[in-house]
Amino acid sequence: MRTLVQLGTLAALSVRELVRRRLLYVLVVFGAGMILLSLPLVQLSVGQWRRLIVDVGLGTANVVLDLLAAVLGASLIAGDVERRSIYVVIARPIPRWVIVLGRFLGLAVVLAGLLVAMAVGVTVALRIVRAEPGLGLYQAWLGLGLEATVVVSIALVFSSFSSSLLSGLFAISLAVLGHLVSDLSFFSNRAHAPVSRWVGNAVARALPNLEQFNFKAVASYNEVLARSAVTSACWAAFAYVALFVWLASVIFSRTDLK
Amino acid sequence: MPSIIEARGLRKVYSLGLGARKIVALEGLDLAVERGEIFGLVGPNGAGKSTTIKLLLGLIRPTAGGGTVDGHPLGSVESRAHLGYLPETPSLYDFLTPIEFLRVCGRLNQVGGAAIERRAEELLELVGLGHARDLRVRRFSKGMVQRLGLAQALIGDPAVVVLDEPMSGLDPIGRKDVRDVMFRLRDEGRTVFFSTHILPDVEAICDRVALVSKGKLTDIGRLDRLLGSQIRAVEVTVSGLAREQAERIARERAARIRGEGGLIASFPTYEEANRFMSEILAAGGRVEAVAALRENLEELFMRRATEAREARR
Ligand SMILES: Nc1ncnc2c1ncn2[C@@H]1O[C@H](COP(=O)(O)OP(=O)(O)OP(=O)(O)O)[C@@H](O)[C@H]1O
Ligand SMILES: [Mg+2]
Repeated sequence: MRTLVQLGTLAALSVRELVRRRLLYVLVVFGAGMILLSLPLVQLSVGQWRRLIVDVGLGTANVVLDLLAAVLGASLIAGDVERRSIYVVIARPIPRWVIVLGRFLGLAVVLAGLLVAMAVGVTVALRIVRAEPGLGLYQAWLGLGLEATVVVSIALVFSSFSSSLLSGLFAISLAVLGHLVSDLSFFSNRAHAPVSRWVGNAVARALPNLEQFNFKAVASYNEVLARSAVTSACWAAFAYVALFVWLASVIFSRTDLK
Repeated sequence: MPSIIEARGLRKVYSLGLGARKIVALEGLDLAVERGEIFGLVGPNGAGKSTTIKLLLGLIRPTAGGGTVDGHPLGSVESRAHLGYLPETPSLYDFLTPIEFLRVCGRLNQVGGAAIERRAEELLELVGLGHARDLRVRRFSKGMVQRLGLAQALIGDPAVVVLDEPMSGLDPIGRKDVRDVMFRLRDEGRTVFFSTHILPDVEAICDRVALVSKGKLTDIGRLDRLLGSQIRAVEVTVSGLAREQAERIARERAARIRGEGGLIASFPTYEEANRFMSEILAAGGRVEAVAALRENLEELFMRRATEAREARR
């Protein structure tokens, strides 16, 4: 009970802190601008309008959400340490994992709100051109949300021991690499030297595979993903988040806040 | 009852960068703070005061040694259950108003909903921020931030309050306010542990002090005992002498003339002072005052700092 109150308080504090960040609005405006600008550039028939809006909307949302997850996630703990405002929190009877989890929940809530707003925007745009969103589109949005959540937890790991700038860069790099996991293992299996094959596969296995949350093509072709695929993606995301939040907590508990 | 704060052999080595230079900030500090006292941690800049405090709070981990707060090991959640902390030049969430900030702190401290509102209002009045309750902390002056820092340390109804330089950044009124708050906390039965290098504050407030210098504890105990162990001089004030008499004695004794036929002379021992006084009485003068001058805290502080500097050579 006492831990729940602390978690809620920290999550709410994080939300209040995050909604003041200018980056949030810059990227949202960028996303909306992308969608609006892409429309007049092409002359299309009705079916193609749907695909254009879905592709541009999901693609933009993917970049915006991952960027925010990486940069804001990195700044949440490391920024608090750098400003030394964390002292008044740490000095209270709170285990450090509660701080990590509270920060995670706060950012997850903000990103979820943002995702819903963008999903509503895309749906409205589809309605305007009289196109159906389709169930596949909602599955794709869910996938984007899962992916961003995993990126947040990755950012928190770096943030628990490194500066906010470096953590942001590391988290962005991992988010990009996470989409190339299958390419990486494809090419390393093709390598001649056994060493490079082995190293490439090891790296591919160690990286979080973010492509498994990518349902954009399904939405684009207005298809529907099997329920089992969606469920397993949810479990995979949950496992990653649990692992990374735990790792961040362990590292953060050992870090000197000087 | 055991001491509320105990440190045994606390040592902290900071390493700068990757395996590069190391700084020994604290070497083997032993300390015991009793319940209900105001305890001052005194020492020059860089002595290791803040390091000690951060170790007590579990913000950093000791390289060696350990200790307890309220019977629980340093760094444990329990050790902070009844503790309030004011950091050195505190940095507070500046997008909140003081009331909102205290509310957050209170919830993190498990203060119940209704009690939070009451305590937050009380504390804002106590630290003199009642007028600024709706102003964002971003707009606060340095002294106002310091005052809010003190309030947040007290929101959890702590049994022990640890203050790192509570007077810094405050004007004379603010300093007096903080002093009064510290007395009040002690009168309520709480323990106050604070660091400072403002020596008059220490003499005015502390029950006991610990002097640290270059990471080492040099003195610990009641202030009157620490300072009382050494008499620096005995000063005798006399009057009622004839003018030329007074001038002659002043020359012989290197004394200062005071008014018409009066003198102030100081002596390294009571014996010499006694001899001087017999002489004056025989000459028909009066003894107005005898004062034993003890080493004050500033002189002790300076002496320790010099010793530490020489020890390093
Ligand atoms: N984060 C850190 N990294 C490296 N060295 C540090 C760090 N913090 C403190 N030190 C060193 O440890 C020593 C003690 O510092 P500390 O902050 O405890 O002193 P202090 O007594 O609080 O001084 P002040 O009165 O100036 O606040 C100093 O030599 C300082 O350079
Ligand atoms: Mg200090």
